[in-house]
Amino acid sequence: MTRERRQAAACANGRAAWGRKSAAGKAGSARNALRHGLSVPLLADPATSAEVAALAEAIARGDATGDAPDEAAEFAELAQQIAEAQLDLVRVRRARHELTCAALADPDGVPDGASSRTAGEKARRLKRAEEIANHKGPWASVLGHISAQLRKPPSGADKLGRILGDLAPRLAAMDRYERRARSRRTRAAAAYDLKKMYLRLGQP
Amino acid sequence: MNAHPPAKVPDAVSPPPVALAFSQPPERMAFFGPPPLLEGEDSEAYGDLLARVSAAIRPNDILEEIWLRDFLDLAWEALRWRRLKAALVNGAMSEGLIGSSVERAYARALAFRLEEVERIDRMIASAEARRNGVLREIERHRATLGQELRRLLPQAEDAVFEVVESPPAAAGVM
Repeated sequence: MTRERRQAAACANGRAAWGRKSAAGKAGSARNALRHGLSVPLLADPATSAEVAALAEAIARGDATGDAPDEAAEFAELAQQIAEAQLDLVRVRRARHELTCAALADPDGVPDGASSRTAGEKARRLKRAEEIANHKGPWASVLGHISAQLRKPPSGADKLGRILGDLAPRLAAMDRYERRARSRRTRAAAAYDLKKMYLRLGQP
Repeated sequence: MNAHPPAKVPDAVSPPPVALAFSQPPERMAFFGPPPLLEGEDSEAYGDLLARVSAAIRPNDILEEIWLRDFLDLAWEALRWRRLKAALVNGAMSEGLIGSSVERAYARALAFRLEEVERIDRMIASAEARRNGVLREIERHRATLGQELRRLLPQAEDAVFEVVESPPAAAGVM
Protein backbone atom coordinates (compact mmCIF):
# COMPACT_ATOMS: atom_id res chain seq x y z
CA MET A 1 0.00 0.00 0.00
CA THR A 2 1.48 3.31 -1.01
CA ARG A 3 1.88 6.13 1.42
CA GLU A 4 -0.79 8.24 -0.32
CA ARG A 5 -3.36 5.44 -0.25
CA ARG A 6 -2.60 4.80 3.39
CA GLN A 7 -3.09 8.49 4.19
CA ALA A 8 -6.33 8.61 2.20
CA ALA A 9 -7.65 5.53 4.01
CA ALA A 10 -6.71 7.01 7.38
CA CYS A 11 -8.53 10.24 6.51
CA ALA A 12 -11.64 8.35 5.37
CA ASN A 13 -11.63 6.23 8.52
CA GLY A 14 -11.20 9.33 10.64
CA ARG A 15 -14.12 11.06 8.98
CA ALA A 16 -16.30 7.97 9.43
CA ALA A 17 -15.41 7.58 13.11
CA TRP A 18 -16.42 11.05 14.29
CA GLY A 19 -19.72 12.83 14.59
CA ARG A 20 -23.29 11.75 14.33
CA LYS A 21 -24.29 9.28 11.64
CA SER A 22 -28.05 9.45 11.20
CA ALA A 23 -29.76 12.22 9.24
CA ALA A 24 -31.61 13.34 12.38
CA GLY A 25 -28.36 13.39 14.36
CA LYS A 26 -26.60 15.42 11.68
CA ALA A 27 -29.52 17.84 11.55
CA GLY A 28 -29.33 18.19 15.35
CA SER A 29 -25.60 18.88 15.25
CA ALA A 30 -26.14 21.50 12.56
CA ARG A 31 -28.54 23.30 14.89
CA ASN A 32 -26.15 23.35 17.88
CA ALA A 33 -24.64 26.73 17.14
CA LEU A 34 -28.06 28.21 16.33
CA ARG A 35 -29.29 27.57 19.86
CA HIS A 36 -27.30 30.47 21.25
CA GLY A 37 -26.48 32.27 17.98
CA LEU A 38 -22.94 33.02 19.14
CA SER A 39 -21.32 31.88 15.92
CA VAL A 40 -23.16 34.53 13.88
CA PRO A 41 -20.79 37.41 13.07
CA LEU A 42 -21.43 40.38 15.32
CA LEU A 43 -21.63 42.88 12.46
CA ALA A 44 -24.46 40.95 10.81
CA ASP A 45 -26.84 42.73 13.17
CA PRO A 46 -27.29 46.43 12.24
CA ALA A 47 -28.06 47.46 15.84
CA THR A 48 -24.89 45.80 17.12
CA SER A 49 -22.90 47.30 14.24
CA ALA A 50 -23.94 50.74 15.45
CA GLU A 51 -22.82 49.86 18.98
CA VAL A 52 -19.47 48.62 17.67
CA ALA A 53 -18.99 51.87 15.75
CA ALA A 54 -19.92 53.95 18.81
CA LEU A 55 -17.52 52.06 21.08
CA ALA A 56 -14.71 52.20 18.50
CA GLU A 57 -15.23 55.94 18.23
CA ALA A 58 -15.13 56.31 22.02
CA ILE A 59 -11.89 54.28 22.22
CA ALA A 60 -10.10 56.16 19.45
CA ARG A 61 -11.32 59.60 20.54
CA GLY A 62 -8.30 61.83 20.97
CA ASP A 63 -5.95 59.42 19.18
CA ALA A 64 -7.51 59.24 15.71
CA THR A 65 -7.32 62.92 14.79
CA GLY A 66 -7.63 64.48 11.38
CA ASP A 67 -4.08 65.92 11.55
CA ALA A 68 -2.58 62.63 10.33
CA PRO A 69 -5.17 60.71 8.28
CA ASP A 70 -3.04 57.56 7.95
CA GLU A 71 -2.47 57.36 11.68
CA ALA A 72 -6.14 58.08 12.32
CA ALA A 73 -7.16 55.21 10.03
CA GLU A 74 -4.82 52.80 11.83
CA PHE A 75 -6.15 53.82 15.24
CA ALA A 76 -9.72 53.52 13.99
CA GLU A 77 -9.02 50.03 12.66
CA LEU A 78 -7.48 48.84 15.93
CA ALA A 79 -10.26 50.47 17.95
CA GLN A 80 -12.79 48.66 15.76
CA GLN A 81 -11.10 45.33 16.57
CA ILE A 82 -11.23 46.04 20.31
CA ALA A 83 -14.88 47.12 20.07
CA GLU A 84 -15.91 44.01 18.13
CA ALA A 85 -14.20 41.70 20.61
CA GLN A 86 -15.68 43.56 23.59
CA LEU A 87 -19.24 43.42 22.28
CA ASP A 88 -18.76 39.77 21.35
CA LEU A 89 -17.77 39.19 24.95
CA VAL A 90 -20.87 41.04 26.15
CA ARG A 91 -23.02 38.92 23.83
CA VAL A 92 -21.62 35.65 25.22
CA ARG A 93 -22.04 36.80 28.81
CA ARG A 94 -25.60 37.93 28.15
CA ALA A 95 -26.47 34.57 26.57
CA ARG A 96 -25.01 32.68 29.53
CA HIS A 97 -26.79 34.92 32.02
CA GLU A 98 -30.13 34.55 30.24
CA LEU A 99 -29.75 30.77 30.11
CA THR A 100 -29.12 30.59 33.86
CA CYS A 101 -31.93 33.06 34.66
CA ALA A 102 -34.41 31.12 32.49
CA ALA A 103 -33.53 27.92 34.33
CA LEU A 104 -33.88 29.65 37.70
CA ALA A 105 -37.28 31.04 36.72
CA ASP A 106 -38.52 27.58 35.66
CA PRO A 107 -40.19 25.64 38.51
CA ASP A 108 -38.24 22.50 37.56
CA GLY A 109 -35.02 24.39 36.99
CA VAL A 110 -34.72 23.74 33.28
CA PRO A 111 -34.38 26.34 30.51
CA ASP A 112 -35.73 26.45 26.95
CA GLY A 113 -39.25 25.27 27.77
CA ALA A 114 -38.08 21.70 28.41
CA SER A 115 -39.97 21.74 31.70
CA SER A 116 -42.81 19.41 30.72
CA ARG A 117 -40.44 16.74 29.40
CA THR A 118 -38.32 16.89 32.54
CA ALA A 119 -41.38 16.83 34.78
CA GLY A 120 -42.73 13.74 32.97
CA GLU A 121 -39.43 11.92 33.31
CA LYS A 122 -39.21 12.83 36.99
CA ALA A 123 -42.75 11.58 37.62
CA ARG A 124 -41.95 8.23 36.00
CA ARG A 125 -38.82 7.82 38.15
CA LEU A 126 -40.73 8.73 41.28
CA LYS A 127 -43.46 6.23 40.53
CA ARG A 128 -40.90 3.47 40.00
CA ALA A 129 -39.03 4.37 43.23
CA GLU A 130 -42.26 4.34 45.23
CA GLU A 131 -43.28 0.99 43.77
CA ILE A 132 -39.98 -0.52 44.91
CA ALA A 133 -40.21 1.22 48.32
CA ASN A 134 -43.69 -0.24 48.86
CA HIS A 135 -42.30 -3.79 48.62
CA LYS A 136 -40.65 -3.29 52.05
CA GLY A 137 -37.35 -4.68 50.83
CA PRO A 138 -33.92 -3.85 52.35
CA TRP A 139 -33.72 -0.52 50.47
CA ALA A 140 -37.29 0.54 51.19
CA SER A 141 -36.38 3.24 53.72
CA VAL A 142 -33.61 4.67 51.50
CA LEU A 143 -35.90 4.73 48.47
CA GLY A 144 -38.65 6.31 50.55
CA HIS A 145 -36.22 9.05 51.59
CA ILE A 146 -35.10 9.59 47.99
CA SER A 147 -38.66 9.83 46.71
CA ALA A 148 -39.51 12.31 49.48
CA GLN A 149 -36.49 14.40 48.43
CA LEU A 150 -37.54 14.26 44.79
CA ARG A 151 -41.05 15.41 45.66
CA LYS A 152 -39.68 18.58 47.22
CA PRO A 153 -39.55 21.40 44.64
CA PRO A 154 -35.92 22.50 44.11
CA SER A 155 -35.10 25.91 45.53
CA GLY A 156 -32.21 28.12 46.58
CA ALA A 157 -28.73 26.62 46.55
CA ASP A 158 -29.98 23.13 45.65
CA LYS A 159 -31.72 24.46 42.58
CA LEU A 160 -28.77 26.51 41.36
CA GLY A 161 -26.39 23.61 42.02
CA ARG A 162 -28.59 21.29 40.02
CA ILE A 163 -28.97 23.82 37.20
CA LEU A 164 -25.20 24.22 36.93
CA GLY A 165 -24.88 20.46 36.58
CA ASP A 166 -27.59 20.26 33.93
CA LEU A 167 -26.25 23.20 31.96
CA ALA A 168 -22.56 22.29 32.31
CA PRO A 169 -21.98 21.28 28.65
CA ARG A 170 -23.71 24.39 27.31
CA LEU A 171 -21.95 26.68 29.75
CA ALA A 172 -18.63 25.10 28.79
CA ALA A 173 -19.36 25.79 25.10
CA MET A 174 -20.09 29.42 25.96
CA ASP A 175 -16.86 29.62 27.95
CA ARG A 176 -14.97 28.69 24.79
CA TYR A 177 -16.61 31.56 22.89
CA GLU A 178 -15.77 33.89 25.77
CA ARG A 179 -12.11 32.81 25.84
CA ARG A 180 -11.75 33.48 22.13
CA ALA A 181 -13.37 36.93 22.37
CA ARG A 182 -11.27 37.81 25.41
CA SER A 183 -8.05 36.83 23.72
CA ARG A 184 -8.95 38.85 20.60
CA ARG A 185 -9.64 41.87 22.80
CA THR A 186 -6.33 41.47 24.66
CA ARG A 187 -4.34 41.28 21.43
CA ALA A 188 -6.13 44.27 19.90
CA ALA A 189 -5.73 46.40 23.04
CA ALA A 190 -2.02 45.57 23.27
CA ALA A 191 -1.55 46.52 19.59
CA TYR A 192 -3.46 49.75 20.16
CA ASP A 193 -1.31 50.73 23.15
CA LEU A 194 1.90 49.96 21.29
CA LYS A 195 0.77 52.01 18.33
CA LYS A 196 -0.03 54.90 20.66
CA MET A 197 3.34 54.64 22.38
CA TYR A 198 5.36 54.54 19.14
CA LEU A 199 3.36 57.41 17.68
CA ARG A 200 4.05 59.61 20.69
CA LEU A 201 7.72 58.68 20.55
CA GLY A 202 7.82 59.61 16.90
CA GLN A 203 8.70 56.11 15.71
CA PRO A 204 6.92 54.12 12.99
CA MET B 1 -10.05 44.54 48.89
CA ASN B 2 -12.85 44.34 51.38
CA ALA B 3 -15.54 43.21 48.98
CA HIS B 4 -19.22 42.88 49.72
CA PRO B 5 -20.38 39.35 49.02
CA PRO B 6 -23.50 38.67 47.01
CA ALA B 7 -26.35 38.97 49.49
CA LYS B 8 -27.61 35.41 49.37
CA VAL B 9 -27.89 32.38 47.19
CA PRO B 10 -30.37 33.09 44.39
CA ASP B 11 -33.88 31.85 44.83
CA ALA B 12 -36.46 31.66 42.06
CA VAL B 13 -39.20 33.04 44.30
CA SER B 14 -37.30 36.16 45.37
CA PRO B 15 -38.51 39.52 44.07
CA PRO B 16 -36.77 40.99 41.02
CA PRO B 17 -33.77 43.28 41.64
CA VAL B 18 -34.50 46.91 42.39
CA ALA B 19 -33.34 49.76 40.16
CA LEU B 20 -29.58 50.06 40.16
CA ALA B 21 -27.60 53.16 40.95
CA PHE B 22 -24.34 52.69 39.06
CA SER B 23 -21.48 55.06 38.92
CA GLN B 24 -20.91 54.14 35.27
CA PRO B 25 -22.84 56.32 32.80
CA PRO B 26 -26.02 54.58 31.56
CA GLU B 27 -25.27 55.37 27.89
CA ARG B 28 -22.20 53.16 28.18
CA MET B 29 -24.08 50.17 29.57
CA ALA B 30 -24.39 48.71 26.06
CA PHE B 31 -20.58 48.55 25.91
CA PHE B 32 -20.28 46.70 29.20
CA GLY B 33 -23.45 44.61 29.24
CA PRO B 34 -26.07 44.38 31.98
CA PRO B 35 -24.94 43.65 35.54
CA PRO B 36 -24.78 39.88 35.99
CA LEU B 37 -27.24 39.69 38.87
CA LEU B 38 -29.30 36.58 39.41
CA GLU B 39 -32.68 36.65 41.10
CA GLY B 40 -32.34 37.40 44.77
CA GLU B 41 -28.87 38.91 44.52
CA ASP B 42 -28.36 42.26 46.20
CA SER B 43 -28.13 44.97 43.55
CA GLU B 44 -27.12 47.53 46.17
CA ALA B 45 -24.15 45.39 47.20
CA TYR B 46 -23.18 45.15 43.53
CA GLY B 47 -23.44 48.95 43.13
CA ASP B 48 -21.41 49.43 46.30
CA LEU B 49 -18.72 47.04 45.08
CA LEU B 50 -18.65 48.89 41.74
CA ALA B 51 -18.09 52.18 43.57
CA ARG B 52 -15.29 50.67 45.66
CA VAL B 53 -13.56 49.06 42.68
CA SER B 54 -13.89 52.32 40.70
CA ALA B 55 -12.31 54.24 43.60
CA ALA B 56 -9.45 51.71 43.80
CA ILE B 57 -8.71 51.42 40.06
CA ARG B 58 -9.63 54.99 39.05
CA PRO B 59 -10.04 54.33 35.32
CA ASN B 60 -8.26 56.81 33.05
CA ASP B 61 -9.92 55.92 29.75
CA ILE B 62 -12.69 53.80 28.31
CA LEU B 63 -10.45 50.73 28.00
CA GLU B 64 -9.82 50.84 31.73
CA GLU B 65 -13.56 51.26 32.32
CA ILE B 66 -14.16 48.08 30.31
CA TRP B 67 -11.57 46.17 32.32
CA LEU B 68 -12.99 47.55 35.55
CA ARG B 69 -16.41 46.09 34.76
CA ASP B 70 -14.78 42.80 33.80
CA PHE B 71 -12.91 42.71 37.07
CA LEU B 72 -16.05 43.53 39.04
CA ASP B 73 -18.24 40.96 37.31
CA LEU B 74 -15.66 38.20 37.68
CA ALA B 75 -15.08 39.03 41.34
CA TRP B 76 -18.84 38.94 41.88
CA GLU B 77 -19.08 35.61 40.08
CA ALA B 78 -16.33 34.06 42.21
CA LEU B 79 -18.04 35.30 45.38
CA ARG B 80 -21.35 33.86 44.20
CA TRP B 81 -19.86 30.41 43.57
CA ARG B 82 -18.09 30.46 46.94
CA ARG B 83 -21.36 31.20 48.69
CA LEU B 84 -23.18 28.54 46.69
CA LYS B 85 -20.57 25.94 47.64
CA ALA B 86 -20.86 26.87 51.32
CA ALA B 87 -24.68 26.76 51.15
CA LEU B 88 -24.69 23.33 49.51
CA VAL B 89 -22.25 21.81 51.99
CA ASN B 90 -24.00 23.45 54.96
CA GLY B 91 -27.37 22.18 53.74
CA ALA B 92 -26.07 18.63 53.39
CA MET B 93 -24.32 18.91 56.77
CA SER B 94 -27.44 20.01 58.61
CA GLU B 95 -29.21 16.87 57.38
CA GLY B 96 -26.47 14.55 58.66
CA LEU B 97 -25.42 16.37 61.84
CA ILE B 98 -27.79 14.61 64.24
CA GLY B 99 -25.85 12.12 66.38
CA SER B 100 -22.60 12.78 64.59
CA SER B 101 -19.50 14.94 65.03
CA VAL B 102 -19.07 18.06 62.92
CA GLU B 103 -16.06 16.58 61.09
CA ARG B 104 -17.93 13.42 60.26
CA ALA B 105 -21.00 15.37 59.12
CA TYR B 106 -18.76 17.59 56.97
CA ALA B 107 -17.09 14.56 55.41
CA ARG B 108 -20.46 13.00 54.66
CA ALA B 109 -21.80 16.26 53.26
CA LEU B 110 -18.74 16.68 51.06
CA ALA B 111 -19.02 13.10 49.81
CA PHE B 112 -22.73 13.59 49.14
CA ARG B 113 -22.13 16.82 47.23
CA LEU B 114 -18.70 15.98 45.83
CA GLU B 115 -19.61 16.26 42.16
CA GLU B 116 -21.27 19.65 42.61
CA VAL B 117 -18.50 20.92 44.88
CA GLU B 118 -15.84 19.93 42.34
CA ARG B 119 -17.74 21.65 39.56
CA ILE B 120 -18.15 24.81 41.62
CA ASP B 121 -14.44 24.73 42.57
CA ARG B 122 -13.57 24.68 38.87
CA MET B 123 -15.90 27.61 38.25
CA ILE B 124 -14.33 29.58 41.12
CA ALA B 125 -10.83 28.88 39.80
CA SER B 126 -11.87 29.91 36.29
CA ALA B 127 -13.49 33.17 37.46
CA GLU B 128 -10.50 34.05 39.62
CA ALA B 129 -8.01 33.29 36.84
CA ARG B 130 -9.95 35.52 34.43
CA ARG B 131 -10.23 38.24 37.11
CA ASN B 132 -6.46 38.17 37.63
CA GLY B 133 -5.98 38.28 33.86
CA VAL B 134 -7.99 41.51 33.76
CA LEU B 135 -5.71 43.03 36.39
CA ARG B 136 -2.68 42.05 34.30
CA GLU B 137 -4.29 43.77 31.30
CA ILE B 138 -4.73 47.00 33.27
CA GLU B 139 -1.13 46.77 34.50
CA ARG B 140 0.14 46.15 30.98
CA HIS B 141 -1.89 49.08 29.63
CA ARG B 142 -0.61 51.42 32.32
CA ALA B 143 2.95 50.16 32.04
CA THR B 144 2.96 50.80 28.28
CA LEU B 145 1.73 54.34 28.79
CA GLY B 146 4.05 54.75 31.78
CA GLN B 147 6.99 53.59 29.67
CA GLU B 148 5.99 56.14 27.07
CA LEU B 149 5.92 58.88 29.69
CA ARG B 150 9.33 57.83 31.09
CA ARG B 151 10.85 57.97 27.63
CA LEU B 152 9.20 61.29 26.86
CA LEU B 153 10.42 62.85 30.08
CA PRO B 154 14.04 63.58 28.95
CA GLN B 155 12.74 65.15 25.73
CA ALA B 156 10.33 67.27 27.73
CA GLU B 157 13.13 68.31 30.08
CA ASP B 158 15.34 69.17 27.09
CA ALA B 159 12.57 71.34 25.72
CA VAL B 160 11.95 73.15 28.99
CA PHE B 161 15.49 73.57 30.22
CA GLU B 162 17.64 75.04 27.45
CA VAL B 163 21.40 74.79 27.78
CA VAL B 164 22.76 78.25 28.48
CA GLU B 165 26.21 78.86 27.06
CA SER B 166 28.63 80.43 29.49
CA PRO B 167 29.97 83.81 28.26
CA PRO B 168 33.39 83.36 26.56
CA ALA B 169 36.62 84.78 27.99
CA ALA B 170 35.00 85.96 31.13
CA ALA B 171 38.19 85.13 33.00
CA GLY B 172 40.56 88.02 33.55
CA VAL B 173 37.89 90.64 33.63
CA MET B 174 37.75 91.90 37.15
